Amino acid sequence: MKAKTIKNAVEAHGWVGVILSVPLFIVFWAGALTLFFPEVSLWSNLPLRSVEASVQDSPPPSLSSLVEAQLRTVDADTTKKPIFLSLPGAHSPFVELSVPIVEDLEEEGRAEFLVDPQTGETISRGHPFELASFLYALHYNLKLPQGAYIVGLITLFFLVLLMTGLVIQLKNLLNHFFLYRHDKGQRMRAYDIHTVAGVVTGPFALMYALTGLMFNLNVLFYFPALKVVYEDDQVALMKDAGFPRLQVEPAGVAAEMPALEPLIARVEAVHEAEVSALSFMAFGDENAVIRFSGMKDGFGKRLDVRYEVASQSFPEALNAGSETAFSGIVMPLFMAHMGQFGGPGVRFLLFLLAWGVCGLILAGNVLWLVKREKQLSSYPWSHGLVRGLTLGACTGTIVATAAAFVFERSLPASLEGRVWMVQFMFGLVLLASTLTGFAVTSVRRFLAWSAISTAGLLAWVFLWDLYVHGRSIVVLWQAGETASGAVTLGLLVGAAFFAWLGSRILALGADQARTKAGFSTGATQTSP
Amino acid sequence: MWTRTLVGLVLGLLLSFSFALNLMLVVPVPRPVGMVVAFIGGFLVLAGVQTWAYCAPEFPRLLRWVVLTLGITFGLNAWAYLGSMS
Repeated sequence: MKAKTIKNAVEAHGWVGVILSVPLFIVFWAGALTLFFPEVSLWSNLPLRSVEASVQDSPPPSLSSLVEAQLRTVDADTTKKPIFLSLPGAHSPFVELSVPIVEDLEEEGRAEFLVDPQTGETISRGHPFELASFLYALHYNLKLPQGAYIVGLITLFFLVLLMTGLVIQLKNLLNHFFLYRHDKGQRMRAYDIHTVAGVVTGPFALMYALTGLMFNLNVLFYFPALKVVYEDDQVALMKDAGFPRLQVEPAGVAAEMPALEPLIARVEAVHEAEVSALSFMAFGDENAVIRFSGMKDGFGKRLDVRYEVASQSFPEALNAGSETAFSGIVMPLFMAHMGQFGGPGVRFLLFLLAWGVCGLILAGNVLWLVKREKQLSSYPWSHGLVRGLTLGACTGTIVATAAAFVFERSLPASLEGRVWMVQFMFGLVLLASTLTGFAVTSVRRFLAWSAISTAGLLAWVFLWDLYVHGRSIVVLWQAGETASGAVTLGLLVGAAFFAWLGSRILALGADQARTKAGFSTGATQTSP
Repeated sequence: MWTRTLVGLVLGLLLSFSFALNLMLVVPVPRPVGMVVAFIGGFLVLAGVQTWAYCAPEFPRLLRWVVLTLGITFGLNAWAYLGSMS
């Protein structure tokens, strides 16, 4: 490969990397945590749990009666939009119900309920604990308007970063595989960490980049295919894709809805699957259709079965075309993206790899800053800006996440606007960290104190859990529901890790100061 | 850098669309199969052209190659599309 090609690749890799580092870091960081969405969701909901209720043996009310009871409390409009019902399971102990209501400004036209499946009692109107959903939203749209497309574009350039990285390292890939020179200077070590992390996480990052693009930028190929190949026939396109659309026109004639439990049992037995959600189109109408969703046994096989109330059957016309070559390949890729295979062990492995990519981004930033130290030394303001926007915001994301956990746990469940407050505090801490990153003179101290602050916040949440929810966690753990306890333990491990990391960075700085080989990236820096 | 970014993005998009349509219109495979290869391959072509735009030592030469490839794939699409209409 020509030297000019590699030089161009290095230049592009550096600039694209530093420009994208912050959103990319947030996407990967939030994505890593989203791998444990069900556990974090269960952990968040702990204050709503009644430990006594979870062990009682009273017969639960039927699902149909739960839906009908909630429909009576709102001005529901089930003619155009479906009712969604999420069954208690891995992510929530409650029945979650989303009912379309007559259009007004409230809740975007939907009313949400959390219902106790044992008693039928409405636990909450709306979702007071949304930390897991917030982290998930950060992962796929950064909580920005049109964020899904922005994240798609970022993912496209992430794929370009992987490709330019490959161009740069192609020659050294075999000779210097896993090379790490611990005895070299700061720049070489940052370079080696960046390269090793890139090699280790490379295949995983490629899978994530491609599947992320498929999630967020599928519109790019959807429209050309629709216009040219399918001649505007949306129904045919979606059928070929394996996601056939279903339009149900209500007849305007009331009909009794069937008992859902026997239907769920039948679907699960026939399809060897687990039903996790139901949706009702034209609920209570003669033309009503009930859709059963979930996962089948085996990797990446989704369940999508439709039941016609009028004929009391699963007619072929409604159920054909949900398994095509497209969905057969795309669905397993999506499952791989979300780590929904192989259990918690695989998710933990993916979590570590996602952290590896976060480390890759941070090391890349350090490398970029160290490399341009001399060039930028005459422009301290520019240097500070880049440092604040890269290191400040990246490490700030970690501290802000810990702060979000603190507020998620400590704000009262009944507090109006608590969901917004948790998100606001996340943003505020992130902003504060970015501004601090701009002003600091020692990057090393900044990184160390960010890690120690994160440790302190996580330890605080752990102690809160221990004293306030300790009994609930133990009772649930003994009943076999280990998710909440596992998150609490995870917070303790996280606190210990960040405390170790922070103290280690400080100790390294002290060592290097003694040997006059300080870590210096700031033009105005006097000591590490 | 900005020129390379914009040119790479625009040409990459055009080429990836054209390549994706090739797979669905020209290659004689069932549509769902063509669709999935187009879907995955299209993104790889897009990112590949962008990477090439950044790395190419001679930018005009890259432009010539991409425009030539675009012409060929577009021609194939036009041939297949008009053939299916008649």
